[in-house]
Amino acid sequence: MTAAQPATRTAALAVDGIWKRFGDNDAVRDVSFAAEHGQVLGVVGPNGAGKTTSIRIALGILAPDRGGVHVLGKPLAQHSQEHIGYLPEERGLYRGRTIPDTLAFLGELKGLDRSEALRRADSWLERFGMAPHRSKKVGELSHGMAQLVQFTATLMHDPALVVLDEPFSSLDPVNVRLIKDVILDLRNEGRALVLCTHQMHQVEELCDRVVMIDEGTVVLDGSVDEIKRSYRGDTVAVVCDPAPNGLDGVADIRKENQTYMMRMLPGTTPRSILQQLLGQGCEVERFEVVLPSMEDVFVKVVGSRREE
Amino acid sequence: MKNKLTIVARNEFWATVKRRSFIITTALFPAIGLLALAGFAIFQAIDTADDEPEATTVGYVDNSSLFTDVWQRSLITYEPVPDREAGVQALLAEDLDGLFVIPADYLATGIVERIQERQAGIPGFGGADLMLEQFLRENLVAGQVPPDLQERLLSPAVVNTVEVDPEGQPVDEPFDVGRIFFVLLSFLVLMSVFMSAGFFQEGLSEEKETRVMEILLSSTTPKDLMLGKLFGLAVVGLAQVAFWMVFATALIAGVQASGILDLPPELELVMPPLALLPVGLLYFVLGYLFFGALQGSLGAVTSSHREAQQMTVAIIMPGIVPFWFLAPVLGDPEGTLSRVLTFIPFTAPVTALLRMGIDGIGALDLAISLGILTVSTLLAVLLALRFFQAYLLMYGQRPGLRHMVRTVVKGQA
Repeated sequence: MTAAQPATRTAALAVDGIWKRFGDNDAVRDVSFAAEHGQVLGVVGPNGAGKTTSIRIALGILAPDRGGVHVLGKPLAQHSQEHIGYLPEERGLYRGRTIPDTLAFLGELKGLDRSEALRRADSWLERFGMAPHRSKKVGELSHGMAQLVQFTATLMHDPALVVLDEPFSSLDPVNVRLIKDVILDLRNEGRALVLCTHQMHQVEELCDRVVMIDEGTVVLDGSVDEIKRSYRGDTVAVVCDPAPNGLDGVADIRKENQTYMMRMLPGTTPRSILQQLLGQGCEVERFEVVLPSMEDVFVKVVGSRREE
Repeated sequence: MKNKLTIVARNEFWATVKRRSFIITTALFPAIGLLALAGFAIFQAIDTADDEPEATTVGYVDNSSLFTDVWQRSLITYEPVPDREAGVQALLAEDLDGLFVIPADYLATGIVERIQERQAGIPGFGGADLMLEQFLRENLVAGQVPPDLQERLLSPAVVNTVEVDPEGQPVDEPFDVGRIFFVLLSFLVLMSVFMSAGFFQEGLSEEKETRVMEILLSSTTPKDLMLGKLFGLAVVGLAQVAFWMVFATALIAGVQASGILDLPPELELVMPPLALLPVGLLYFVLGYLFFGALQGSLGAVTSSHREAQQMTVAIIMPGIVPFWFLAPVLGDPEGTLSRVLTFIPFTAPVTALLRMGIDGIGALDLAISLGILTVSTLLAVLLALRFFQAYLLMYGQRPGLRHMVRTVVKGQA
């Protein structure tokens, strides 16, 4: 789970052992990951870790020095781009052009006829509540509205693989909810989604699998649940009556509302704590090993690598 | 499925022709032409009004006893006046428009006295003044020499120029005013080339600055993007020059047909010899592709439009060098300077068109010039392609010279 998994060629996107060097710096070293149909894959990592380079290689924007990419089971080629929707982190549109002009051009580049592009664009703009602004120039839109236009450009050609880099930045809570719904709908339709973000709570909420890249290599790859379990902490949460007292192997106990948070000493197991509680005649309503948040995992993994 | 190069080219074409700056500049030349014609018409009208036939009577007091008769040519009449005082009175009473006094020793000195009322401006009687010499000459030789000799004395020569070719044979077709087309065309080509190439670089900088570039590159290749933009803007440039030429021709034809203005008849020849048109077109296309590819390279390596504009001068300046040497090139189209400028790719399009305009370029020079320009254009396009592949996603920084050299030699960074 922690090492780079061999990418499967049946996946919607399979990145297989890619390397990329810029000058004297290896930006990406033997990175592999796969995005399956009907799943959201989170790609996370600190700034400068090699995420953007990996994504650009996966999309065919950059060529790898070694390794390869398969999209929908076939080696990445120019026609693959028509099956991919990409929302880059650093985004923008032609400010002086109208929304239809812009979307028609971007739609044509994705293989749509101009009229079909405009028809589909209208449909998405309607869904995003942008229909009243349809004929405006991009420069007249707010940042958030422009982002919704970019979402339209990303999705209008009905891509099987959708890559979203920081999709929630500069969106208000209503639009964040709207985009989350769209992401989940797309997943339920069987599309593969790749979500690059620093917002770990979004990863927990939306992603089925997570790949963490640090210093150009994959340091974590697995389902969100697997990762959290493997990084579970040293704390158990207990709701019981009466209050626990004099437990062996517990470093300290703090009370949060009705819950006792017990930090275990190294070598202590949750089972031994539970047995002691039951032995003291405590009525245990809740006993749970506290799983770390993805943010905790992120900090722990990256932090420990920095210390090495 | 449409070719992406075509989609990019078409997008670039329409995006550019809708630009306000393009519309204004394209309309500017016809507007200047119309203003020039309007100015010419006003000048002609004023001039014609000034030239309304008006009889002029000039008096002369002859103290030399050489002139006695009334002399009349066209609407100017010279009539004798008894004495100076009578002449002055007639002048002040406006019975005379001018007065000359011919002294007794005129034959020896040639001096004639003109008398006029004090007035502002430059002294003189206009046409009457000029006719004085003819009046004097005709009267002096009258009866002294045979009539045919008298005619030649009064009008010694009408110069008629005959041009000969290097073999000494007379040239059937003397200088063709229509070939001025090429001088005009060379200027328009330069304008259009720089404008289109500038739009290329400007558009590219905008796409980098607004980060549209990343979306474009996730949908097409740098090669299709670069060539699509280049070809799209080439069509813009051609359409612009064609519009200017058609407008100019239609305007002149319209003016001539309507008779509104009295234009020189040579202007009918404003259309170029058809055989030279393809060569002119070739120079335009190659020139545009050459400068466009260089401007595109600049747009790819710079991080902002402003930065690119500052560096554009280095490309544009060599292009306008032929206009600095307009006189030597037109004066000696086969000279060393003209030939060197024809072979340097930066100056070739304009210099060659200028030389073609005055029939001053041979087939060999044309072939060498076009050959060098074609190779240079291919190299410039390759350079742009390398820079597009390497630097389009480089934001906020400019690669160093060594890095660029390595990119050119080895390809994508």
